Amino acid sequence: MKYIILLLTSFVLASCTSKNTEQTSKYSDIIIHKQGQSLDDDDVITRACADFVLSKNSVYHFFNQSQVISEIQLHNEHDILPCYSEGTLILDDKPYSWRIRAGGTGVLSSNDEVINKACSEKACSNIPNLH
Amino acid sequence: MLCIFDGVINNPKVTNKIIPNIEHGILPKVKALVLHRTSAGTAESTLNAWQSKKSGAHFLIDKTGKIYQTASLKKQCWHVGLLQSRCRLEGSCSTEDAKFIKKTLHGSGSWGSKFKKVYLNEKKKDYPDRYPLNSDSLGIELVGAYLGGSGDKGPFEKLKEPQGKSFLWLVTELLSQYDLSFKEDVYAHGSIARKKVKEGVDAFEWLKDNYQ
Repeated sequence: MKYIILLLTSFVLASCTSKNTEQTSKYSDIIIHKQGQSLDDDDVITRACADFVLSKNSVYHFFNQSQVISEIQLHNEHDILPCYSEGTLILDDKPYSWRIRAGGTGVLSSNDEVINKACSEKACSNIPNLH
Repeated sequence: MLCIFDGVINNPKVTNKIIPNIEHGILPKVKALVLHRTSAGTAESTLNAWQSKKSGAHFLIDKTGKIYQTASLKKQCWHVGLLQSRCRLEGSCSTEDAKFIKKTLHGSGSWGSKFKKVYLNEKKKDYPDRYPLNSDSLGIELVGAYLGGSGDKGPFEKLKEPQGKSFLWLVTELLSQYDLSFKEDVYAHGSIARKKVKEGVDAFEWLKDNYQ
């Protein structure tokens, strides 16, 4: 009985690990086109936003660790801070443009799809300079 | 003149759909109106979202022109969010204010905390030295999806004709009710807070063309 429980536990753990690996490997070919961009044109904000620089690793972690949110959730529950970085990536063999904003929101877009994402401070605590 | 009983408008053009969880504390005086867009295509999706959330606005105007009053005019709604500095946007900051904003945004701390500090500094000011806050404004949401894709400066759906008609009626009545100025006391949300840049802007432009 003991062995059966151990075997089952190992099987469950193995399948969880495999699932996680699968979840964290679907984003690839991350390219950063623009860093430290600003929605506002004035000098104070533009210069402040110049510090919003993310590594490819951070982009990868952001999209893996963030949650998909609806447009209405983005509208009702999140501020849109003016600083952002953007680029392109491949998700499940499909090319997307991405944007990540200071404060922990982001978006993926293709010709026919827009996917909003948000990552809490806790969930993305390993990403420096995001929040 | 509107007939208002205990903060609720009694008029056949307005449907009472008060959602208690979006009402927060007393609204002592209405000094401004803030125009919002819902980022959703139907009134139902916004009404459903507000049922379980704390943020919302006093009115929701459907594409059909139906006006829902969703909060008492005596209560505050959390509709403004992270306010921008008015003097920075209008180029009228005192030396002290300009220094504070620059030092805060270029200083250390999280991005959220830096922009929040600027907002908290604004909160200390009186209206109209700052933009309106939840504590002195009414929020009007107009149903309309965001059409800007992944960008943050894109447009929202154009107002439908019956929606515009109701919007114009409501704004005219509220400005008269609270003795507010159309030129001075009406604001597009995207112009004053950290939201999609054009939220409420097109609606405000439409209003400018049609308000007399």
